[in-house]
Amino acid sequence: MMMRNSLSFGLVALTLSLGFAAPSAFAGGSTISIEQYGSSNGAGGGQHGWRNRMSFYQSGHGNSVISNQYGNKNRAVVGQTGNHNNADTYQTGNRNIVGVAQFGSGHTVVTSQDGSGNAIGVIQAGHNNHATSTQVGAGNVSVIVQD
Amino acid sequence: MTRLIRSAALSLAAAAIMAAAPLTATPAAAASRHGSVSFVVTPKGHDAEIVREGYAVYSLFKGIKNRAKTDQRGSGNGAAIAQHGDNNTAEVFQRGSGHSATITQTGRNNLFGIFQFGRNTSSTVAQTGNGETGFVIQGGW
Repeated sequence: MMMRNSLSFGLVALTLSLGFAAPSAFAGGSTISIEQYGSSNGAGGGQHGWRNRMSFYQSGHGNSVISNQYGNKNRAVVGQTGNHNNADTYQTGNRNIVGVAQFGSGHTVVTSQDGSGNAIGVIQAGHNNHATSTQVGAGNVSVIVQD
Repeated sequence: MTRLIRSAALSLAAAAIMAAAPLTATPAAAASRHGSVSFVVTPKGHDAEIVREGYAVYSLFKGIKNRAKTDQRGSGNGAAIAQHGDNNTAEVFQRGSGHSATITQTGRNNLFGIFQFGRNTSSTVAQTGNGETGFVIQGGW
């Protein structure tokens, strides 16, 4: 696996408001974008490869997200607005996409992608929903919507 | 009410052979180069309660409202789950290529699983109401 860029990070927000954005350092670089509002939100993970992109947004308190990308051109997007939501995404390979949006509280989602061109989308609205999605191979699509 | 709207198959013969009396099974086999065989299992009465309660205990222990799981290994598979209500559980399990599965649950305490193997099978299931339970097992070639 080509590794032109390696970036790992770990953040914990304990203040009332915290915003952070790390734009691409060069044209072929990977990007991470994080916004956290509230208290005790946590974000962590790592990127290995090039042109990987991950974006997070967390609004309430006690939310956490862990995202790892190994490969090239993977994309991870996570929302989360309430409290105590958890999202874990793992991507290995190329051109995988995962998007998560959790609006209420107490949601949990775990996604794993190993291959290329896979796509996962999850939306969980109310509270205490649990979603798991695993993809191994190429061109698989998974959609989960919960109320 | 549980409806299996579409089960992709070139069905020649169908023979329901399931040892467990409370279960209903509908297999369909095809004598073609391409085809699939499907088993639709919808436990009733006490058997359904046992299955549902097993998941319900797990969900209660975990504090889960609805639970959805997709597991895809292969290529070109598609899975979609939509749940509206409480304590519903849906799972799509796909191995191979070209499968498609959709589960829609509306109500409470519903449970459904779609298990697809081989290639090019398709299932669309809608559960509306409370306490519905079922499984679809498909193999395609």
